[in-house]
Formats: sequence, structure tokens, C-alpha cells
Amino acid sequence: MLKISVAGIVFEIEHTYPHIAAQCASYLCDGEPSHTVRVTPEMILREKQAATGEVSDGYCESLAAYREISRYLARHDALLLHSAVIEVNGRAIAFSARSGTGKSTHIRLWKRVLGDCVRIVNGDKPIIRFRNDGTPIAYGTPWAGKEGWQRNVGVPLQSIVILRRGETDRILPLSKEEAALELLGQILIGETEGEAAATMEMLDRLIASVDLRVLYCTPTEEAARVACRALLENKE
Amino acid sequence: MKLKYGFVVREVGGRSVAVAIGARGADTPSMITLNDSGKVIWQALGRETSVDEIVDRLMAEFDVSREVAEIDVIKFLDTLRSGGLLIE
Repeated sequence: MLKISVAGIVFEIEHTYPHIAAQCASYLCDGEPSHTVRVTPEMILREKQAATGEVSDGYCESLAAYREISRYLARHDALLLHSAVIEVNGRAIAFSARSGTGKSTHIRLWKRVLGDCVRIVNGDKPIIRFRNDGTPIAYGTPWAGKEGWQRNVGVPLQSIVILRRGETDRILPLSKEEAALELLGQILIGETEGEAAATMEMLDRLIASVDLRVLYCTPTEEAARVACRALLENKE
Repeated sequence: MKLKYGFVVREVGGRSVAVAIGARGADTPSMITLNDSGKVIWQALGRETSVDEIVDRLMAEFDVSREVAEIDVIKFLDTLRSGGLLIE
């Protein structure tokens, strides 16, 4: 049995393989769990079938556990947003894009341009949770993609940036409607009507609470310079 | 004809969106955005219905001619078909 705290929510996870325990090492806690997650062999099989390439049972068990965790998030004013989140000057920026667009590459460019001012929150699957005052906070989680970039921290989320490949580097405002369409493809919606409805309401709230942009970018340092000039300068 | 899956309709970012649920294991949900007439057509498709019935409903809801309503319905049904969301 594994007990972890992610985004300030305590989960107890019944698991079989050691993979998930190692992965969650920096999230262990002692608190009273809000939810117990059980991963069945069927859930593991399902992840295996959905995966591309050869993946271990332990890895699939961990993915299945996170999928189960995501189903409880809306009850805690939270949702899983598939994105790469960095922290600069105490504020978080989430980069979202379809797989293969170059989120990790873009973040590396920020590190190269700004150095140690840039810290990673989570490279792939952070949780965004609303604080009581309505501020969305981006939390690191043990599930962080193949690079494993993550820290167990929570940082107020300033902006969500949709990344698209471009011939030149430019950053534009993004309407709430466009953001809705982009981001609906980057969340786990849940499996029941109730879960899906709650998750969509959470996404609507998120879209209303943050600065939204679209960045057309090349894989060069100029892309990070253009983005960081626009995102960091007009904030207090 | 009727809708193939169970759907949840919500306003997200000022746009009415219908998302399919119960597509187990799918990370990207099937979804469709709805305009005002789309919402009415959508509601009609919640149970077994026909093109004529939907057209009547649209005409009752909005002040449009049969021709205009028919075009709207046929276009919308085509979108649903191409998304594999309709049982006929």
C-alpha cells in the first residue's frame, strides 16, 4: 500500500509492481487518505493496449492509477491538464500542444535563454487545482512523461500557451472559445456523465481564470525569447 | 436515427460543447461544438427521431423556412456521420 499527497489531496494506492512506488518516492505522506485507488488487471491491460510500443506491466499499472486518480480531481476543484509547466519568478506557465509538437524542446530553449530562473513544475501531466480564493495553482505530480521532469511544488498559474509549429516566432492572444477546443483534447474527461460534466465545468473555470496565448514557434532560442518577452513583461 | 453514445453538453469557454462519454481508454474524447440550431438538433437526437421531426422542431424554435431548416439539419447530420456519432 502506497500513500501519496498530490496537489494537496491524499490518495492511497493498492499496487502490485514496484514501478509506481519508486515513481512516487517524493510524494509519500502520512495523512488520512481522501480516496483509495485500486488498479485491476483489466485496467493494466487497457493501458497496455492503448500504449504505443513495448511497455511494462508496472508502467501500465502506474498509468492506470493516475487515470483513476484523475477521476476524483473535480471533487477537489482540480483537473489534470496534459501540458508542460515551468516556473519563472514564482509564476507558472503551462505549454500545451498535441504530442510531438515540441513542448520539451521549447522548455529546453527557455532554460537556455533564462538559465536558472526557469524551473520545471511538471513536464507532462500536472494537476491544476483552484485555491479557495479562485487562483489556479499548477502542481507537480509523479507522472511527468519520458523525461521525468517534475518537482513536488504548487505554483500560481499565470498563462496557458498553446504551442504550434511556425515558420517564424510570434505569440498572439487566444480566445476563450479557441482555448476550449484546444484544451478539451488535453484533459482526461472521466468515465461517467457526472465526472465528464464536472471536468468540463472545471476546464471552463480554468479558461476564465488565466491568460491565454497561442505561440507559433520554431525550434530556436528566438522562440523562447519572443515568448518570454510577451509573457513576463506585462505582468506586475 | 439517434446518437450513438451518451454525451455531456456544457458551456466551455463560451462555447457549447458535447463530449462523448464511455469511450473507455480513449484519451482524446469525441466532441462536437454546438451552435444554437445545433443544440436543438442535438436535443432531438437524444431519442429515436427522423429528419422531418427534427426540421419541425427547428422551425418551431426559430423563425426559419422549411428549406433553411432542412439545410441546417442535413449539414449537421453529415458532421455527426463523419464523426461516427450517429446510429441510423
